[in-house]
Amino acid sequence: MKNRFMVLLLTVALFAITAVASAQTTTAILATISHNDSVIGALWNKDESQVLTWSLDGTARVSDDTGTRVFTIQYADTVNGAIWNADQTQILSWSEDGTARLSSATDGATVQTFTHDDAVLGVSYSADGTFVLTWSADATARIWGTTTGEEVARIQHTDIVRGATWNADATRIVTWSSDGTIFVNSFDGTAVASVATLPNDAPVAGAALNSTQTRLISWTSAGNNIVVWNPTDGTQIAVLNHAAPVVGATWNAAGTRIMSWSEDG
Amino acid sequence: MGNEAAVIGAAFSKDETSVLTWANDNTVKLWDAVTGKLIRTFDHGIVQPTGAALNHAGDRLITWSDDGTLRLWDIGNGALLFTFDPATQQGGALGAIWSANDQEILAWSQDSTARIWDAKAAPSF
Repeated sequence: MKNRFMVLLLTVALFAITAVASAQTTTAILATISHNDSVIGALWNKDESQVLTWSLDGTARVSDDTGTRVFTIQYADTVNGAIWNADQTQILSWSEDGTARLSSATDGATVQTFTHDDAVLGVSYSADGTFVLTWSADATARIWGTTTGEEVARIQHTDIVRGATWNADATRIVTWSSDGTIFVNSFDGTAVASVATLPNDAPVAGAALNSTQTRLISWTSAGNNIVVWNPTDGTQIAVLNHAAPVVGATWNAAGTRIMSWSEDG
Repeated sequence: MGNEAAVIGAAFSKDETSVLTWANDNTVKLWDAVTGKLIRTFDHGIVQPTGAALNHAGDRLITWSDDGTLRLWDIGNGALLFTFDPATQQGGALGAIWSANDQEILAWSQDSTARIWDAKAAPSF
């Protein structure tokens, strides 16, 4: 009986402590934006008056800075990402359902739909916003006209395209894939042509151009190293060894140094 | 840079003189980018940091964890300034970014919400 009382007392005390702690931290919450499943990313617009969120619940949502919803963009499956365009008049979002969609940033109405044959894993605008580059689990990267909605060109891999990037003036596109290759393609506004193919011995997990676009680093899902390439002719410049699989890597701002991290500690 | 556990992520400081790493041994570490020497360890206790983001000024660090909390650190002395703890925890924190003026933190979570946190709520912020 005495023990039960002690347990009760302790429980009450714990509740009291929890309540105080909650009161303290919940006052720090300025806004709460609700979805129906995990939120996998969020962005502010430039003046931070609105928040764009995307979720496993199959929606991208725009909310104001109090958390009140402005509109919802509905997909048939998880939304993998979403961004505002440069002048913030449109939202580009992409989904597991195999589509990327351009929507009005005012009311969420669909402006263009870019349709792949499998999950869209990422998108990137060309520097002037004329083209949208999308990459997909359907083993392709595709270039679309932003205003026409039409597919301009396609880069074909044989397995999932894990990532892609433009160079600064949108004359080159680098794509990397689970098929173990990195493609460097030229792009003239109407068609792509192969510049170089960089062979790897395992699925390419990641790659990054430096800021001067003179070097490309890549790493694979199985390898313990970072490979440094010349992206213009496909030659290997260096191999940087870790003792265990590489998790990620990045360039410094000047593009002169590489930081990589690994399971080797 | 010698961590004793798998490094989950890493980031340059704004001036690129130091490097932050977070690892699955529940620590966040700050290293000298030139010498590779360990400057400071931020002990995360029993919770594994799954990600981290430096503020724009480069003097505050936010880390997030599977327990749903965000932790605010002082880069200068390694002190834990505050723990942002949602009252209802139903899932891990998945990411966070700083507002342009470093006064607010936008964080998203497995608990089906995104929240804007007031960084100024932290004592000695």
